[in-house]
Amino acid sequence: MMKSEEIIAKLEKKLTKFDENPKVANVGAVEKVNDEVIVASGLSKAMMGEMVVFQDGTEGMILNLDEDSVSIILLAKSSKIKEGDTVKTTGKLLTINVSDDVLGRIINPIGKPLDGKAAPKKGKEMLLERIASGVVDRKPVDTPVKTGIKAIDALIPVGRGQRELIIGDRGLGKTAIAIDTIINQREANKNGKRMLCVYVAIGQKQSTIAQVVEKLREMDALSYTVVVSASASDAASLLYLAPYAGVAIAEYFMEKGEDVLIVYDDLTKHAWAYRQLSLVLRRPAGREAYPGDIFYLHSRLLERAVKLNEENGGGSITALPVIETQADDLSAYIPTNVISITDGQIFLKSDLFNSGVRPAVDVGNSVSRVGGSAQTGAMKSVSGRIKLELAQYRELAVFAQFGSELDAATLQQLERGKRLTEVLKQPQYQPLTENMEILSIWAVSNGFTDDIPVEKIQKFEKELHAYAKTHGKKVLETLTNGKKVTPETTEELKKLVTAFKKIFS
Amino acid sequence: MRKKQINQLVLASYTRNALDDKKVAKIATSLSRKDLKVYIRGLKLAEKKKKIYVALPSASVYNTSKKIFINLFPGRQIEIEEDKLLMLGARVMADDMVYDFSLKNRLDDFLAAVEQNYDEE
Repeated sequence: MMKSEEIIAKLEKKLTKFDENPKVANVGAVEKVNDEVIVASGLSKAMMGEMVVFQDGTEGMILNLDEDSVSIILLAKSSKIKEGDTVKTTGKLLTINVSDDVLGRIINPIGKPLDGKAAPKKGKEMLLERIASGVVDRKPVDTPVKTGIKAIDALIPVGRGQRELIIGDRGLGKTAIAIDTIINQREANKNGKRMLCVYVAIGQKQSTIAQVVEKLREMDALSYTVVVSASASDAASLLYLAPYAGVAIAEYFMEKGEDVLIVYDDLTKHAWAYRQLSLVLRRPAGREAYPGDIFYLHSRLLERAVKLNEENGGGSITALPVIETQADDLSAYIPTNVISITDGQIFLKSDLFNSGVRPAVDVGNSVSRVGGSAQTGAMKSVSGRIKLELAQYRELAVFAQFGSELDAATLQQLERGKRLTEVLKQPQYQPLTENMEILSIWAVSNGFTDDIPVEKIQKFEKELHAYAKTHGKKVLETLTNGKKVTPETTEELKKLVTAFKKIFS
Repeated sequence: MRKKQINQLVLASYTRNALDDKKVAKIATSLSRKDLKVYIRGLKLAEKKKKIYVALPSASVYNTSKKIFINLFPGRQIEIEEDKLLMLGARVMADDMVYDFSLKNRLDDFLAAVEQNYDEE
């Protein structure tokens, strides 16, 4: 704690810096109250995005500047504001107070605690709207984000600083992928540079947010996570601000050289909230009634995901935006927008989900444009072939439905494909370490499971992991270092899997 | 009627820098209810622009500082009001700008700076 002398000295220092000029404020009067948007006259010197304070103390933000009026969105619910009330500019843009104290907390988009605890300690005021880092400050993505999900780490790898979209219909496990990735950082943080997480819940039911928070707490993942919550019952203005508040928090840690993972769950509801505000603001409506700047809304947000170079601290922000589709339609307005902004997408398909493939990742339509260069050598050497093998399997499987007689090579390819699909299945909240992922994929793609019935593959995998933990510590350690799999390691893997197969029933 | 045209009517309602009741009555009768509302708002705004509101901690201070305000805002009507909470100094409101020279404002600033930089213990 600071001594009283120090506090007074600090205040005196501040006093000397005070401007001798009078405080100049711009004052206006409320003209109209439209749902969550207030129209005020006066305020001729107001800035776009400036914070204003109403007579009753409610804060707002200017979102429209007209010839003789401004439109203001409220940052809190207030039923006291009426026509004629005064409104004053503050000269400040919207900020959020961020300190290390926010880790493990649940806050709203303006930094107010929602977990019943005291307000987070004073730290740095971070601007919600900020220009993303420029080209010279950045460096290419070169470090992986370990999601702990085999299908993603092997086929659609994500790198630190990447923007990877998670897209699919409702109820297919989009949030589950994001939460598993957050949970997996607990283990991943033990071995490499730690990764902090920010989970931004936009327009979700409060019960769903509570479930997510509870799961994170249960899995001991809340200590390195910040939850920014703007639930369905909050004002549209808060839903609109939530992802910007989340990225402002992420930037605070990134400036300190930390790696941060941010999940926007989900941007469809964010677009809805912005459409609602824009329509009340009487901005011209375009396709699907979204305003003209709906693309910029998301591009300026996702552009803030970055991998900084060493001169700028070397921190990074990895973004996992979530988009909900209707009937697997990727060509709708918001999905196509966000697909074009991000560096790839993980597409979840309802057919796969219903046929028991979970996570229901559609390998054919999913892509990671930059993550490949971040994949570790070990993972690269085992996963190189399987994307092609899976694609061929899917083609053949469709074809094989029509014919009864197939040649041996085709049959073998089909059987291998079935096992590959089976091994990529993974239960929720059970992320795996990279060496275990490699072990599973290596065993299947090298034909060690060809003689094992498909329905026993999951059991085989589970028991192989347990066996490797006791009998293959050395080889698992070798796989952890991330280097390419050498012939010696391959031999050791062969020995391990063959020895296990002998005792597997 | 367009807002621009109504603004021109507002300007035309003045004779020698003062509101002309005959002109106002004539204009008002020819306007629709909706336009009349905009016209009244325009008149209010124009009147507000002509006036300067000065808040002082004591009305007696006004006599000593009257000249200063007249020189600062030539040709504008000065309205005075007493606000004891200001303690010292003055608060001047011209159009939609507020210039606060009061001690109260300085102390408020100080409080805001403390609140922003220090945690509640």
